[in-house]
Amino acid sequence: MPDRPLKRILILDDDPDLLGVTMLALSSLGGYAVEACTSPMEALERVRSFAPDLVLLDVMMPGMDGFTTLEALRRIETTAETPVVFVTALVEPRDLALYDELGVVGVVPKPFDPATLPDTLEEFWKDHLLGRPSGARLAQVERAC
Amino acid sequence: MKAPPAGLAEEYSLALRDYFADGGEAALLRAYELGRQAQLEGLGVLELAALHQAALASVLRRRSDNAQIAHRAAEVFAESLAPFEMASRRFQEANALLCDRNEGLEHEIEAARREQRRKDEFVCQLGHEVRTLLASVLGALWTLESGRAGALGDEPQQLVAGAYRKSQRLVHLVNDALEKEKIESGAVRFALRPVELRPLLERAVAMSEPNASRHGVAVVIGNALSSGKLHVDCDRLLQALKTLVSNAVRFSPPGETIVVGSSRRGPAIRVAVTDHGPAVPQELRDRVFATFASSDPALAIEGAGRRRGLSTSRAIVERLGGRVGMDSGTEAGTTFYFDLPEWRGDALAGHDSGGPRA
Repeated sequence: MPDRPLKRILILDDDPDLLGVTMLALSSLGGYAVEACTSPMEALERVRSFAPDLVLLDVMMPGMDGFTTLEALRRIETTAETPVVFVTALVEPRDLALYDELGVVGVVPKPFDPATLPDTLEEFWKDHLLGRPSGARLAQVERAC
Repeated sequence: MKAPPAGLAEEYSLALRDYFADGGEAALLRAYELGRQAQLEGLGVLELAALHQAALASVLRRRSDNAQIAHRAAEVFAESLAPFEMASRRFQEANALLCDRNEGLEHEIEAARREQRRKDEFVCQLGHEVRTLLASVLGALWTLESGRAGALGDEPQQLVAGAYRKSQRLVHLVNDALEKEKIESGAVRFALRPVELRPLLERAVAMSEPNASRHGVAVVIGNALSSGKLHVDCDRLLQALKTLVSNAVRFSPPGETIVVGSSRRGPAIRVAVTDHGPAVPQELRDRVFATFASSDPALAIEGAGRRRGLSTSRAIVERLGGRVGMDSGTEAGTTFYFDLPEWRGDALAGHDSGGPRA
């Protein structure tokens, strides 16, 4: 499926303000079908019926963090192989190395420019379909705007 | 002089008597062991000589002439040893002083390291908090400014647009200051290895493509060395180069072409990015690379550009043993460049790369 378009995105962020902006950028600017969740439990429930093409995960959340949520997503059949992008302010080299090991397909550093978010995700999606190694994509992280 | 323990003097006398009696190795071995014990007790050679003298005198007591000779001999022996003893004492005192100072310095170094770690963690934590909060602020202002939350009146629209632009500048300022601080403090580890420059230029150009097409400009490789290596951290150098290119993109009028090139300058290789944006006046050139250049009013007034991230690029290049610079207002346009020592096998050309290594 080398040319399968990116259509459905699920976002998880415990900050409702940022969640609202991200949803707006992806739906009105990117034209994607977006499901927005503020808690990991809600997200793990919604993915079963929503079946996203891509999941955007906040990393630092109270209670269940992005890492644990990612593990849980991998155990759900619908999202066992769904590409995941971390949205985080933690982008030190040691953090990026960890994300790389976890197999995320990209990292969007906070704060990001909502206007360029769809383009960034399209690049991650394209790389994912082409099976490019994630290390290179993580290395390309550049704070937007 | 320190008095030897009573038992030691007695044992020494016994050993001496036994040796006089049969001359065997066992008594000599005992003398050696007694010497070691005396050393552990903190006695010096003078004390040992006195001990020897007393023991010898007691062995020869019955023969007064011999006792007298032995006594005198021991005195002469002790006197001849005195300079050695004094030198040894001075050495021990100096050594004790150095040990104390060394211990003090080690404590100070450890305290400084703890303080640095605390500061690094604080900066890291602060950075995380500020960036997370800014994400919401920036997002909300974008929503309003882009009209996605409905149309605003002229005046509110202007206010929101100004706030959005300023929050973008704040993001860059925070990122640049934190990044530069980390690099200069050595908190960022540089993985140095010989790297062929040309593919790095190609990668930087390819990565700038989405941003360039948004701005309606092209980024190409112009005159560039077909081969040439640098001893650098690949990702960090790419970061510095991308900053030069992204600034060139921002400041070039649509339709322009930005040229990335490389050339040899003595022992160094120069990597240059040339754009056709507004020239930077001579008197402001030093300020372009300063930490707070992105909020420097003079740079905004002159239209020369609050270029972003250049202080971080400079910190990276200087850590790699190079230097940054610029030419502006020439026919070629504005060129930002960095010079780095060329890697030639196992030795860098020119000066040492220097800088902190973490």
